[in-house]
Amino acid sequence: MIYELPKEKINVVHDDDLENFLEQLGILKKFKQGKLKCKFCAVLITFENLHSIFPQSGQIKLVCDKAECMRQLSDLLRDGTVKL
Amino acid sequence: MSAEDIIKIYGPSSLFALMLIYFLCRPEALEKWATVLYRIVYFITKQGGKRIVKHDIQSRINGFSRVLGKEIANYEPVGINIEWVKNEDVAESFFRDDKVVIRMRHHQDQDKNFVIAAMAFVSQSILSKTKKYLSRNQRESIDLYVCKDLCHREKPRVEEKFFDYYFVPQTDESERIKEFVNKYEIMHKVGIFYGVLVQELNFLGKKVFSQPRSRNIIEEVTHLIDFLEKYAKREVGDEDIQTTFRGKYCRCGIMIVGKSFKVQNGKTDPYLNYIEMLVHSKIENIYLIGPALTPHELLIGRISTQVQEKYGYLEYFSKKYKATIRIKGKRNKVNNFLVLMRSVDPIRFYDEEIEKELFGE
Repeated sequence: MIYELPKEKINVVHDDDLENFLEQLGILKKFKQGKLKCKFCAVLITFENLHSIFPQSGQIKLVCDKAECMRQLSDLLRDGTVKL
Repeated sequence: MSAEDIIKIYGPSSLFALMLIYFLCRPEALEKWATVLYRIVYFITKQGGKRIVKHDIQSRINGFSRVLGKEIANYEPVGINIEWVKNEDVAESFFRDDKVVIRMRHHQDQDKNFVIAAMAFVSQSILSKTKKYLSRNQRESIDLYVCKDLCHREKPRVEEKFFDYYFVPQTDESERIKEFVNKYEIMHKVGIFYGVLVQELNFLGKKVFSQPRSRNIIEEVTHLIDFLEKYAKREVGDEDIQTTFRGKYCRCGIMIVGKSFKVQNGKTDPYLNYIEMLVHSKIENIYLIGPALTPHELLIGRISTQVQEKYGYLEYFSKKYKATIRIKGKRNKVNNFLVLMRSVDPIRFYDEEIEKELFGE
């Protein structure tokens, strides 16, 4: 009877869990030291500008929240190169 | 019968039953109320911030997706499920799932969370099969416009946030995206952005299989967009405008059932003669459009029945919708009625032989 829609899952991490998440991925130290860069524009990733994280060829890629970088990530999603 | 009448006749428990039915049919409405509850709980206890983020986004996007399901004949609504990354086995599941993890801020910054989730959802879920064959500008402009529409239905500050983060930077950077978006806006005014364009593109995605992105499809989609834009700009009564699109992949025609004297006359022959020409031209989708007035709807209904009997087309979809059409240079709001007649045997492109057989080398 319940008319539920089929769902697309979106994986997200909340700010409250972000440090733990980065720690478990083994990149928290580098993150805090300001040594991680955006995959697309190479700007330093900070707590303020982090948009998303995804794996690619065994590596961890980070994306900043600049319009052009979010746009490039959307393009990878449309292409199916990366998935939500 | 109003809710008040129902309570008088069946007693107060009937109201509860009505609400239950409503929430069962629309779980996102229940989720919306749950968000309000979580906000109250958070206000008192400072607990449950993540629940606010999750259920607020889910209820709004799922509600929009359900609306699209009613506007687009061949769109099967898909919802969103916000899934928090688990605290255990993070590294293992991160590489195993091979998926993007999006960062969500505290719910005090929920508008930003919402536009980011909305854009990610639209990028992956709307026209996912078709977008593989479109140019970058075409697919970006469609996502941008659909997401703009989603945010427009929200509070103005959400739309503003969307403009700041996505719309302005992308339209500023690409003149072509800006042009496409302007054309969609004109189509949307007359109710054919979702009702014809997105629908036709969805059909396209289901009939082209395993082909690489080709210039032919990209150019054809551009011509389809131009055709629909010209139609949307049409003045009422202008009969010189092109009303059929005969591409290789998209083949559709629009027939307007609007002239009062023809409707009063009630004869279907002039319309059927035109439709016969469309059928012979292998037009797969025929849109019958007229004012949502009883005489027009009855005539459209009779035309539809005869087209089904004579040519074996299906009445695929019908709906009433609001449109703003041009009369003597000014836009006027009207209620329209649309019926989509679809060929039972649309051409599908899954090997080169079919293409050569139908269209030559």
